Amino acid sequence: MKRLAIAALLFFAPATSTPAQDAAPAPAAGASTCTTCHADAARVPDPAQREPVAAFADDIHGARGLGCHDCHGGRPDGDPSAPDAVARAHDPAAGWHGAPAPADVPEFCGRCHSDASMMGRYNPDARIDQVAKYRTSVHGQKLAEGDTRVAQCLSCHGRHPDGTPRALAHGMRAVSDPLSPVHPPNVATTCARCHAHAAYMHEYGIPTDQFADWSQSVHAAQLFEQDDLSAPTCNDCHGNHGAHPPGVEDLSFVCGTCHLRQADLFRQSTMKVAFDEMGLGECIVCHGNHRIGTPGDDMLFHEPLPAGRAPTACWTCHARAEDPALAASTRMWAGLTGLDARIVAAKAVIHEAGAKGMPVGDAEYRLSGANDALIEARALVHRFVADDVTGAVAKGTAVADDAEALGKSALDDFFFRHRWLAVSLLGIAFVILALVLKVRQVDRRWRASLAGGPRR
Amino acid sequence: MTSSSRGPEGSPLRRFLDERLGLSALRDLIGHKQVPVHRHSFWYYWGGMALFLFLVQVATGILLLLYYRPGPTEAWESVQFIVTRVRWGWLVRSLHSISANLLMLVVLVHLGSVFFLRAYRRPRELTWVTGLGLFFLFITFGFSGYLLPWNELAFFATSVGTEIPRAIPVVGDFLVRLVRGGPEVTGATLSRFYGLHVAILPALTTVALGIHLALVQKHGMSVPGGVREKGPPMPFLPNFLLRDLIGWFAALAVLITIIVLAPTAPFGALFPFDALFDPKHLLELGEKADPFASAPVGIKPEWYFLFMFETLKALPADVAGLEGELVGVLAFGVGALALFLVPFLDRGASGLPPSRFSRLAGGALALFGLAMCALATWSMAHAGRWLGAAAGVAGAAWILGALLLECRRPPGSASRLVPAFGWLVVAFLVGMTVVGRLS
Repeated sequence: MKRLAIAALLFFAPATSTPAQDAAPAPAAGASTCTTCHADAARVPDPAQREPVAAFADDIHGARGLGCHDCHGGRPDGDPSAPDAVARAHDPAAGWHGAPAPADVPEFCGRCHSDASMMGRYNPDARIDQVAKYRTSVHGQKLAEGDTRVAQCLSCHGRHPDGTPRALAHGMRAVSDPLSPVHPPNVATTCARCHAHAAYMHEYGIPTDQFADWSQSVHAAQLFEQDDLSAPTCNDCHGNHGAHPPGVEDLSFVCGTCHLRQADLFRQSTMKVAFDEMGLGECIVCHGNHRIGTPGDDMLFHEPLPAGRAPTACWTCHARAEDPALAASTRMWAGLTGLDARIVAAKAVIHEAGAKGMPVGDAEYRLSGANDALIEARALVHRFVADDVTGAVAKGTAVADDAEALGKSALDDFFFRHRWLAVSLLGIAFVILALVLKVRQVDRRWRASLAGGPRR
Repeated sequence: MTSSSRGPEGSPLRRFLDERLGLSALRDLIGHKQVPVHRHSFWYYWGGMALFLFLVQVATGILLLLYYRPGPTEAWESVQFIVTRVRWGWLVRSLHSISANLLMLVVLVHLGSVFFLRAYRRPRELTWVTGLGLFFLFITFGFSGYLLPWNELAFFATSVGTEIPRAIPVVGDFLVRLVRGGPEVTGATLSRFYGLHVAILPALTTVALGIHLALVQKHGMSVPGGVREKGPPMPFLPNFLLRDLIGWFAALAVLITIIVLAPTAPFGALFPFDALFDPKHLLELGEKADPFASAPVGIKPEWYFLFMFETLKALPADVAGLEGELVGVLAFGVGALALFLVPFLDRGASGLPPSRFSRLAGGALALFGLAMCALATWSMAHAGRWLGAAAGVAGAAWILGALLLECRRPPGSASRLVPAFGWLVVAFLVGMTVVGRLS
């Protein structure tokens, strides 16, 4: 049992639910009997029992000033070389208890993490509901049933020295620490240690391809390629401490946490009723679940379909040529792709004017309105009413036309300025020529007047 | 044919105006104005060119006032409105911006020509002083006007520029607060600069320009010493004025060509304006100022402030126990004062023996120059910038050479010290400007 290996790395002793810090005064974290003995191979030959001291240097608890006895109890103060030092450090009367068994870990951590006054000392906004939520999770329920292979606190927050589900308690990092296994970019890998482990998951009979699928999703691309820490990973849909698979009924709420507008529109649609009747899982029917691709207009059925293309998500249910839904889908597709093309064309004109040094801020701002309309029209697809989509497309097209007109006007202005420059330079050249001739004339008169000759 | 020969006769309107305004007297005054003709007459046109560009500034400035709204929430938007929505607004704003730059260039050439031709000598000392005053007024116009569009570059350039007086002991902090209207550049600074740009400076400039032109009219054009005139002087009206007009129209052609072609890439590649003068960035409005944003990378002041910017940057933190920046600011202050005093210091130009004060001031200036050259050579060599170190050695050699020539000057001949120092200053200004542009 690999989970038991975790316990082997900690101190063997009966667990206690008494918060250790209530039982013993706090000696300095870095100078206790614990760290003196458990760093000394002569006194503690088992490397697994020396490992916590080295690992604790990077531990968030150590960084916050907590020491071994704050979790494990005992009286590790005084001279470590004193004859009674070991007995005092391991004194059950002083609240000492060693490593908790896996089944006891949530309660063990919860002694502090469920204590508002205790957690408030370090972070006034700290959550204290993790253990309560954990008990509602599939993990927590199975642990309560006696299954110690399921994830508990250490499984996710602990240190993972290898790629297996094995986790070590010491060296635990804050969630905001990029090296933490539960920092957003690391969450999926952490979950995958168990959930992508075919042998480990075998007895639960659930698939193990979620991580592989999610890794190819638009969400993973957003997280890793755009460095967007708000991009959804496992816990954003499944929860973390209260993790459970979302039910069919919950899906639009889960996706709607981020995709509010689309979820709201879907709930207004007739499709919602039909899906519910058929027991279909809302968003995932068209978009998939873990391997969610980049959505595009081509997800809509349209005729004629490009050669070699599957007949799109709509075809899954509306697989009859005379189905009016297919015509409606084609109308929506035509509207969306048409507006997209209109925006691209307008952008090209505006870009050309901008590259020529003309101010195009107004045109760009106007074009952003067309983009907003396209986004709105694409969202409206989720109500599955073609007229709504084409109405939004018509508004967006009018705005794109305006933006393009502004871009063309800037371009016309550019060419006008050049024509104006040419005409002005010609005019100035003419004036200068006339002035030169006049200068010659007045100079002749002046010289003639000096010579006393007739003026011409 | 002279205007006086026409007399007060003419059309009834002319007689009406002449009787009330005395136009014939003005006509006679201008009609009698004459311009000497010699091999340096070319430099006479630069003053008129500066006047023309100033008039362009006045005309375009008044037009901009019709739409410009001062204030941090409206200034940038109103300039954007001017260049995008107001008919011909782009031309007016561009003319104002580009001609301000050309004006600085033309004024510098005019100033340099007057200096090197020693046109400031008796009795034109006050013409020099008012002209130099106008130069500093134009610099202040440029500095205050730069902030008015309230864009990113203007904001940070003004933040850096208004920080300079802080180096002055005792009153430095007060001066910075006075200029900014608070501890930082804010809307209060914009209001101050706007008032300065459109009311105080124009009033002062009108007075200074009026006196300057009146003095030019009174004393006429100076003929450089030792220069032989080619013949009798040329009538100002119409012969010289017509030539002036040719230059003005040529300047207008250059202006509108820059304005229309500068934003396009091929023009920029054809004319490497970036080396010193970047019309494209002058024409672009850029982003609106955001006091909370970080300063743009490589931010630099206008080219005519670069020498000062680069000198203050190059000075070590500590010079002879004084703060480097303070030494720089003091040096520029002393330099500006010395410029005003040039006609009184350079008595030899007026045929007078040099005064004890000018000898002392000249000696002190030479010592200062030598000390600065030594400092530049040492710091450049220390930094491994051998070209800069060589420039320091060349500067010192120049000063010593000029002093040597002065010692060997035959009695009665004109001193060459002033032009020698003048050229050294020009070499320094151009050098620091180029260094600032290329660094």
